[in-house]
Amino acid sequence: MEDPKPQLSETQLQALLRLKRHEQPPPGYFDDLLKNVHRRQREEMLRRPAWRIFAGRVRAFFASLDWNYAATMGAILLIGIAAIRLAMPTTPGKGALGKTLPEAVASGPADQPAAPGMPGMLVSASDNLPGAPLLNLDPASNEEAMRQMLNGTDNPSSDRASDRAMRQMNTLRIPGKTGPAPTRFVIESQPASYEPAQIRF
Amino acid sequence: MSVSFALSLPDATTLVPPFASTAISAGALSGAANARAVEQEQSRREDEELVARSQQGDAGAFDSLIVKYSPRLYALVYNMTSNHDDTNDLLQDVWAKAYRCIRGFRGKSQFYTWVHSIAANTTLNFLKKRGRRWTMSLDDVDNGIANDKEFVELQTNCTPVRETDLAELQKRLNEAMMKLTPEHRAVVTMFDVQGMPHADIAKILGISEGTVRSRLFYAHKQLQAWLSEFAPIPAQ
Repeated sequence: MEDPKPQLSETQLQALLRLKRHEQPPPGYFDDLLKNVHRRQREEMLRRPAWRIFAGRVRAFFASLDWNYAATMGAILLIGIAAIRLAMPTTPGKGALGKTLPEAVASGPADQPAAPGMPGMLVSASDNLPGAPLLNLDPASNEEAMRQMLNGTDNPSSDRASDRAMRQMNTLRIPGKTGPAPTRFVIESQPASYEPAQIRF
Repeated sequence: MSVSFALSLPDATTLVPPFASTAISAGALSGAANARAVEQEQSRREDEELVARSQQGDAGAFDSLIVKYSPRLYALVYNMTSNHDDTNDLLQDVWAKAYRCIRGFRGKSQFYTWVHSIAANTTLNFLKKRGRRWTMSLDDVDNGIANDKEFVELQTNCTPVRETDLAELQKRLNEAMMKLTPEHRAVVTMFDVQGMPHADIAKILGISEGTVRSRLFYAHKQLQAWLSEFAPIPAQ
């Protein structure tokens, strides 16, 4: 009868497998590996999209930020803004350019005369009585026009309410004046009366 | 050049396993264990510092990690692929991935475990994609094996069983390893070749220690059958 084939014991097998520890790469391999990894890192950095590079820089900036210093500077900035705002005079009727509305108008007309029918037209200061509102609309005189505008009966072919409103503005009359409407001025296409009374942040 | 030698394996009493030497006294063993623990702790702290510096963008610190761990990763990947060129490509992939993800490393595990798990998973994915196409590269064998203490012991202790040479031995070992499934090969490489404890292998592969032991058991059974030609002839 033939003997059974001998087998390695567990310990013998482990000893045999440990011999594989001696399988090493050629000398200098690990130096080359480091260089190859560096080259690969550079290639990957160049392949990154621009937004990712930007995001990385933003992240790096915030990571390197001294938050105590940033909070202090932010607080100082806010206090400064508040102090400037409180120190500024808030005179009623003063515009952004520091002039009252009549002063602004008296200083001369705008570069471009107002186109007829533009909303928010401004009457000349010379035509206005002191203390009187600049656009003192007479509701009675415009009642009919307003009714037409709301009913849409003034011009059936036109269906735009804004056009109708523009036409209505042309019919406004200045109190105490007769005849055609006086010269109107527009400052940068914005009604001067709509300008903010003070600087806003 | 091939180094010829007579390969013979001693019986269990004469072969000295690395972690269970009977010749070392208990006191010396505990002293060695303490020294090893201190060394590991020192290495862990050094890694933590290098990782923290790498996360802050210090390229030199990351280079230090590459230099420190590349030999171990090479051994892991090479023994799983048995091909030097594939190992080279995979190692570059591993370090590129580690560099991309180093900012996300929170230190819940050791860097050593983390980078080994990247290497093991990258290699396993590569082996699954490659399938059964495999060529062995035998050009890079280090003949340092001839000076290995255990190998010299093997040569001198027992009855010669089989005349062979180093290249032949390497070929047989690699062929037997490549017959294993990639998962079994990974466990055998880490435990038998690299000497890692079961707990570390479990962490690296993301499996339980029981699964590690089970895979080792079945892999050893298969290897014992395939490498039976290297078994010593029983005394008459």
